[in-house]
Amino acid sequence: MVTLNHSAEALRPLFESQDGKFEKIRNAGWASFEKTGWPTRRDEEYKFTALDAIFKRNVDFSDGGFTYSIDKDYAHSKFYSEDGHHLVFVNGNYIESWSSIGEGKLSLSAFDKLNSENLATIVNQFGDDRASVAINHAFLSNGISIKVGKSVDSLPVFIYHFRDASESTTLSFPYIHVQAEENAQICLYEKSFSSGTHLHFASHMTGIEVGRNANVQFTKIQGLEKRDYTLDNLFVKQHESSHFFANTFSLSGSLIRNNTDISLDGQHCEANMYGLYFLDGHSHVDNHTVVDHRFPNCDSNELYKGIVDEHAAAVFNGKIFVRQAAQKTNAFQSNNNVSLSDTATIHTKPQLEIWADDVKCSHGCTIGQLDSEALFYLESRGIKPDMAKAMLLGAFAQESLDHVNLDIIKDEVSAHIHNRLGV
Amino acid sequence: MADEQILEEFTSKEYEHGWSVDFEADEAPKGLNEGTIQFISAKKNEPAWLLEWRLKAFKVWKGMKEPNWANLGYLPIDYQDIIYYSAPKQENKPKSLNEVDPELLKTFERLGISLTEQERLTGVTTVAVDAVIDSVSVATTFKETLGELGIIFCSFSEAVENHPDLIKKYLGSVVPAKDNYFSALNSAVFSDGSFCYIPEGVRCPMELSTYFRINAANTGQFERTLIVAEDESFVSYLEGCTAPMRDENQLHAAVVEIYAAKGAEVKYSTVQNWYPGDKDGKGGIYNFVTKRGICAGDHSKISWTQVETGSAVTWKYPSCILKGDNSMGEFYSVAVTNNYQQADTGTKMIHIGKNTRSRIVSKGISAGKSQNSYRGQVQVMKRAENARNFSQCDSLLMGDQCGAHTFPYIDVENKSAHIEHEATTSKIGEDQIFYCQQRGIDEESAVALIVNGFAKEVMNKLPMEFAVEAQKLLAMTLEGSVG
Repeated sequence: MVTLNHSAEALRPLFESQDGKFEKIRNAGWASFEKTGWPTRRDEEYKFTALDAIFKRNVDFSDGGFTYSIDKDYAHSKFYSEDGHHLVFVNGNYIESWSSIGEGKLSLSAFDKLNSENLATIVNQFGDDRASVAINHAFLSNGISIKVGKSVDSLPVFIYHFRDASESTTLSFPYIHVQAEENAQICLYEKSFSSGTHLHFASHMTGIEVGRNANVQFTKIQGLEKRDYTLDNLFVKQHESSHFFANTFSLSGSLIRNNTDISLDGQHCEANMYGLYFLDGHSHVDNHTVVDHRFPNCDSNELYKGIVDEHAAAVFNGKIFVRQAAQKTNAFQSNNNVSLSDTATIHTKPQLEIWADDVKCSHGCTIGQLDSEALFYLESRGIKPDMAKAMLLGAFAQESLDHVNLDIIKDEVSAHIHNRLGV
Repeated sequence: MADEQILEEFTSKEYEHGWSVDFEADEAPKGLNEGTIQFISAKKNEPAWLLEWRLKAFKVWKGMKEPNWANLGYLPIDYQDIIYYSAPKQENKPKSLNEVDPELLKTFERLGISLTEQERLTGVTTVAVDAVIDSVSVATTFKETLGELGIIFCSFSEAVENHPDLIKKYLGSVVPAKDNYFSALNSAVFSDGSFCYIPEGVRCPMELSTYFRINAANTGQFERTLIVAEDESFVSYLEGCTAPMRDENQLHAAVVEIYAAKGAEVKYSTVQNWYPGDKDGKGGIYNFVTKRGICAGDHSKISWTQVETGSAVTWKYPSCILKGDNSMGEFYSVAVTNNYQQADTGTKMIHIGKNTRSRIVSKGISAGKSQNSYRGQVQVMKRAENARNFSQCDSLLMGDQCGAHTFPYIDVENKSAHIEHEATTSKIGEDQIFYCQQRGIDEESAVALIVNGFAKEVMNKLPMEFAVEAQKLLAMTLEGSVG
């Protein structure tokens, strides 16, 4: 039986059953994974996110693994109507024939078309030795490398991840690489869908290099099924004068762990991270973010908002590092939570580590409920309690949506929130 | 440049309590084993149950690992290279102050702490002092005056002898031996400390104070303070500490336990000025302290105030367990680090009862090549309805080679909780200094003004007797070191 047990041993048969593709990377990833194993609660970074919850179930992955039973039409029915490049991943593998590439200069290369040297350069550029990265490498699938040329203003890129577990429990290990060259502009929207009744486990890797003066926006929508477990790694390297926006919307799923690591490798960079989690049931969402200020005169902003209901749990850990060289840094971080139920839990740890003296850094976090006076104000004007509550929560969440460029995405998330609130 | 001069002056300023006195000392052999513990216990004529308690703690300690999660880097401590018991030799236990070795009294005079009651009685302030040198308490003043009110204030060993029931009941009730590595070590080898008991309805008329001093070389200091405040009582307690300058690092692993019953209020203030090591980071005290109070009864309150200027390494998290309904915890801290000092300090507020409130104000100032970390936890348990917390931690950086770090943990399991946390890090703004200079205040005074203003919120919480000392310390450590 192949299981996601604590020991790497249990996954070995699945690892060994893979074809010979990307052999070098996979072996290196496996070696690293074998060394570290899965993190436990004793690991500071995973103190509140019990990966053992998955392991305890001893899920059997031996029959299936990466198989799926959805078809092209189903995938296309989920496409946004917007103009752009639509890329389809099914259980972690990029499927070129299902994707639809729009007009414009964008260089797309699937991993299986790249020579092994180029691929190794890409893969080795991002990540570290953490287990979620190692396991992605160990099971490296057909990922994609997106290159936006010098001064190109690209159409938006939509990335659809279909996770199908209709016939058996499945896994996916997608890899997306984005390279925006000097002055380039691109917006990427990533959405995950799950289907099927079995359990699904995924470990995503996204590596983005933002060239000089380039502008990249990356938006993630995670609206997954209750039996979907996701580890998601986003690594960003920013060069001089570049701008980067990350929007993360976690709307459902059994367990989601987002690692966002932004490294500011040049002066005058700006990094922005906005996030919203709106959880109910037994969902568990954990956002770990790192902004590493390595050069002077950079700005970073971070705002994560959360509404947590029923038995859900939210974890937030935001780290800001300001290295000694990074004078004149402005770094701001904020995490606001509304707790709607006594069975919901919130763990937040906004963390600052500063070695430079000429900086302005602040962080703040709040945990609270809706203002009873605001509710009363609305009710006294004839608005029903449910509606009043929805209005206030809607307004609370709205702020994290403000920075999304595309209305269609904004509307979708907004609709989801209002739908959940019953208005 | 003037600034650099001032900075130079200040960094070269030597630790003023760095002298040591040659007492004839009674020491345990180096190293730690069951024999050492039996030796300490025998020296102190302890009852069998206490020895058993110590040995149990030792057993627990042996099975534990030294924690490494703190943001600190220090040389490994060789626990076998420490003298666990050292006492200034006294022929017999002194019955009154007149019988105390005059050399000892002089030592405390030099520290600015008068143990002779006469002077105190005629003076304006009244502070009862329990003075601890190395491992043992040497003198406690004002015992009789306090005794009339039913207040017990004495050294720990005396308390074991005279009030065994109280000790048995409360020892380890707030900080159990197995709580952490250093509390287990302390429980096994603690030599002395202070015990304080305030009976029901009594408002302690004077500040109670403990003064700790490490004197002998190669020794560690392991004292234990236990404060019990019964229903509706009040006590304000002060703690101060110094140590001689030595090249090797010395270990200080203390435990402070506070028990506050219904309606009781305990205010615990510390001015910690252990030897911080020289300007190259050589020597200094390793300060690993576990301090915790429990608001066991409804409407009780525990307030921690600390000014941390000393120690090479500080690892200290005074905490409050807010168990009683409507109880309140407070933590006010100024931590100053300079040269190669490292501090990882903060607090824990555990909300268990209904309507519990806590307030955290932490100010960190780092200069030189030092690292200053705030690490705090606010935990709201499931049944803690209407818990309220406000935390503020501000850091001030002086110089570009120091670091300021914040690690706040906030864990909430109840929806009615209101938690706010805010933190800022900055240096003294040029515009602030310019503003002062415009008004005729020179740069140095402007910096002093700003630093004082930065720390004022905490300084105001200190009792009068300590505020002066603390302000002097702060001024000495920092004035003019920024520009």
